Amino acid sequence: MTSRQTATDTRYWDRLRGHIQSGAGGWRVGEAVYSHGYSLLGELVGELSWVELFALYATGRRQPRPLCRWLEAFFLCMSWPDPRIWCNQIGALGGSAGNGPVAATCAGILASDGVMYGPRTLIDATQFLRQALQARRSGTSIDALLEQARPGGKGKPRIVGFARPLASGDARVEALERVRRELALSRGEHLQLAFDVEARLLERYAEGMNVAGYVAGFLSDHGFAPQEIYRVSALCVAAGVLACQRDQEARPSGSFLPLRCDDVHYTGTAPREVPV
Amino acid sequence: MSDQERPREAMRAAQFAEKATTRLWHEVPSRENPYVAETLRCHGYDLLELMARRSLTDVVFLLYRGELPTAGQSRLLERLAIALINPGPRSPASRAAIACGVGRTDPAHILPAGLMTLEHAHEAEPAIRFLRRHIRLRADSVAANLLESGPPAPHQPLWPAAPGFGRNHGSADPWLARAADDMAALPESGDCLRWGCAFVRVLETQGIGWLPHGLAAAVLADLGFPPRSAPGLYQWLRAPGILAHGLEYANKAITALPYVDDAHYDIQTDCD
Repeated sequence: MTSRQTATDTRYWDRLRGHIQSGAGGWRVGEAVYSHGYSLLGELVGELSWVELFALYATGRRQPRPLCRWLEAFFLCMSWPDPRIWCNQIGALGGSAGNGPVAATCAGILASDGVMYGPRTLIDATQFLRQALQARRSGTSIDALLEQARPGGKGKPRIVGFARPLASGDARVEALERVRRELALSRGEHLQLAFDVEARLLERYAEGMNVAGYVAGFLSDHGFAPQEIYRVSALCVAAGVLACQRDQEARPSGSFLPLRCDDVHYTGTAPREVPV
Repeated sequence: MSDQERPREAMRAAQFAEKATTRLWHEVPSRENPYVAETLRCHGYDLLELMARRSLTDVVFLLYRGELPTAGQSRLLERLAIALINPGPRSPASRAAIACGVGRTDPAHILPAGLMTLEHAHEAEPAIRFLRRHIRLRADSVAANLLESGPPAPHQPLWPAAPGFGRNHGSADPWLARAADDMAALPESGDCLRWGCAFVRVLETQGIGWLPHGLAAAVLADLGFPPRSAPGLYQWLRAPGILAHGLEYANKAITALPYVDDAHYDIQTDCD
């Protein structure tokens, strides 16, 4: 402590030293592995699918089986075995560089955690729909919502969950809608609003909804908060990354998209002497 | 809208680059094999020459800033790198590395696992922005205004109103204050660091001080590093200590770490 400070009340940390409080569960050796009040081995193993367990751990609540079937379909939609997709490319590069499936898949998952695609975009997409729904209830038109989303009042609206890089349209929306209908899962007001926004965007700007907008609307209607949607989607790209790692690991190391020195164009400073 | 009405997927007419480009690194191919470099240059300087004539911190500065540092800039960056070389054995990052070590994790994973657990690395970016926004104002006025709008919660390290500053277990961190004051006394120290020191002097009596990523942000800002580079550079600065702690445990028995017994493990049932 410096002379500038007075003694600090550390009782909060003192109480927690050497002590764990867990809301998730824990292992009582010889008794049970408890998980959110259930016995993992006695009640959940053989009863829950992996996705049902994952959804329980991500939200702290048992989620209905049909909803988990839908979540599984969503994870499939996010795991393409195409190494041109950025996160998958990391899996392929990892495999090609001799890294194992765990490291390469972790690296690919980490790469998906950004603002262009992947789980984190679901937070913004969800927040847009929640705020837009409030605004609609207060009488704001969809056109006004779109207008507010045009940066500097120019160009196309920029709304996370609508439009996407590389391609226009998003076939995953139809696939997930088909699964939703087959599972008799309801379409609530968030998802309906997402479709209404899409209809107007298509009409005025030829841009549609992407999978993030769809998922944000659907899961909001089923009681998921933005952070819960982010959390339950944390591993959604994992299978695609792993597929790309496996494919390249089986090939000679360094054979994935090899680059000659001159395949990277140098645009920097000309050669110069190092000053002493 | 029915599925039939939805637009089909179509590739956008985007113009992709034919080649990747870089301004910072030139690999001159060998005559025998175009995939192998025979000369490496960093912003125009031959790497072999840099190896012979300059320090590691000089070359790190060059890599990110495009020019070699002055002697003062180099000294400042080196002081920062030493100040932050180790978050210490109690930090989440080092504890993650230690858990890897004692758990016989693949040694190549110790550092990535530690860095992914490093506390508040992403906050280094807003910390630079905060400093840049405020250095033209009086530090004591800014502190008074922010305190009036609400000090940080007593048990929270971060103070959202002032990224880079906050509490270390309820206190202003005394060691970081000394390290910052030492660096601020160097003739080559800059406005952000000196402003931060003045800001902390006002706030210390409230138990608010520098946070490590804030100190990194201040020095990096003074050295001209852009905000977006700060989280990654902060990870780099902390990496040696994190890895060292993990390796220290890599050959120890699993019993070398405390294990919380059931009497001290509360399971809080929240089943719905």
